[in-house]
Amino acid sequence: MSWRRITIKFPGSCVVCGKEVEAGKPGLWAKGEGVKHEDCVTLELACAVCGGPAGCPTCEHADTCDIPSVSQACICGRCGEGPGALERYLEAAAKKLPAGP
Amino acid sequence: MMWSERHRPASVAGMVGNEEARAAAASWLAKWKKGVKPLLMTGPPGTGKTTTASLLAARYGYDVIGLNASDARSKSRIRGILGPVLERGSVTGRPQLVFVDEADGIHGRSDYGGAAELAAILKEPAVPMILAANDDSHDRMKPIKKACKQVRFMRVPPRLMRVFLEGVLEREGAHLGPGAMIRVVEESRGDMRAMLNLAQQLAGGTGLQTGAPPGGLDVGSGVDAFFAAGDADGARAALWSISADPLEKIRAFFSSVVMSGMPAADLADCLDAISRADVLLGRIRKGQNWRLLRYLDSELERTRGRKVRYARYDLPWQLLGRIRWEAAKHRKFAGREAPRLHVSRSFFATSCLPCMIRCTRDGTLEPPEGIEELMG
Repeated sequence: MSWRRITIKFPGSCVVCGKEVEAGKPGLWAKGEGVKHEDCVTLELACAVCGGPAGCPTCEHADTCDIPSVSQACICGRCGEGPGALERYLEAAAKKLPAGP
Repeated sequence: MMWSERHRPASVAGMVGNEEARAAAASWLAKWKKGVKPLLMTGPPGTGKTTTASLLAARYGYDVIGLNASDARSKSRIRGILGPVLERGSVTGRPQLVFVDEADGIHGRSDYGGAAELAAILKEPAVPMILAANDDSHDRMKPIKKACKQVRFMRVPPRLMRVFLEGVLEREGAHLGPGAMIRVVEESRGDMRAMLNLAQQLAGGTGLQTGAPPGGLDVGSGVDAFFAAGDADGARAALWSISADPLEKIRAFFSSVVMSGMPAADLADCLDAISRADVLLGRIRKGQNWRLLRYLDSELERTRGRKVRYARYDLPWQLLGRIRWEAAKHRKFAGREAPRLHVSRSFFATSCLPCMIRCTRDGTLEPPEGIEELMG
């Protein structure tokens, strides 16, 4: 389940820093996960191939990529380099799909 | 052929981005049984909602019954399309899946009971139903969201788009420089379809500017790019990129063709194509059947292969100037004489002035001051 940016309705505690999340303030919520402050968001996508961090701070698209509004898996520099990068990604992403009939 | 069509994924596993959303949708359809809530896919255009729905249907052996909520908004129309599916089932024997596109398009005064009918159907679906919407924030979406399981589609991260674009360029045997590639990816803003169209324009050498947003060429640059394109694909991509009202597009083609000075036979062919496009647009407007708009470009494509530059006006400058000058003289004369006859200026200009000129020529009327200028 991905994190959704909402206006917090009820006070609670942040799942990252543990401090209070006030009602009426913007925050992030995910079903079954809880809430967290906007500042506590880890601004880095995960690599769909190796599962590690995608390297967003050093990415060539860092200025234009709005991380909270893109789908939460990308590809890191190492997995995305060289021939066959697309095939590697597709193979890794296909494993997340349920088996066909 | 457009790259966005040629490289459309053949399976859900061949798509790029939104891995979680695709997995959630696939899992929903795999486990679907009667009574399960319909699926609502929300997200910006070009993120794969429609493609996911059609590929999932193919993967699990469903026939798709498509409904565009922007077109079919009335209660009777929605019932007419979905009723037989929900009551009688499939004619082919294969299970059926209902796909309602642009579910956020049912709203306002033009909703003739459509939203309520759809919400009622959603409560007890007899077949799997998938709805797609760009925007779920409006109040009108509340009953639909309540009745559905929601899956969010988000824009594809730029680096992932670039990896996909590199794959497409390799298969096409085309090349874009690193700077151009980054620019194409960034200007597409997560829209895969826009990215492929823009990349095709650039790689095809149609000379389009990357400064304009995808699908956002002004009508003049679009018409010039269309006629300058070296092949049919490039021309089609240029035509697709023109961001203008369809009528404005037709007018731009008309004025450009008329002013091009092409041979009479070519001109006749082009005018025939433009008139067909105009007739099609008239029919679309009359029946509000905007789905047919996709065929407008195919009619205009027939004008390709001629030396034409964009022209804003369909008359030469000299003639335009003369008309403007004459009109100013008529307005001035009418402004002075109409109050004397107690009529409006427009009535004077259309009804009285021709008679006044004829009578002056016959000598039955003493020439009013300034009429000589209007008598040619």
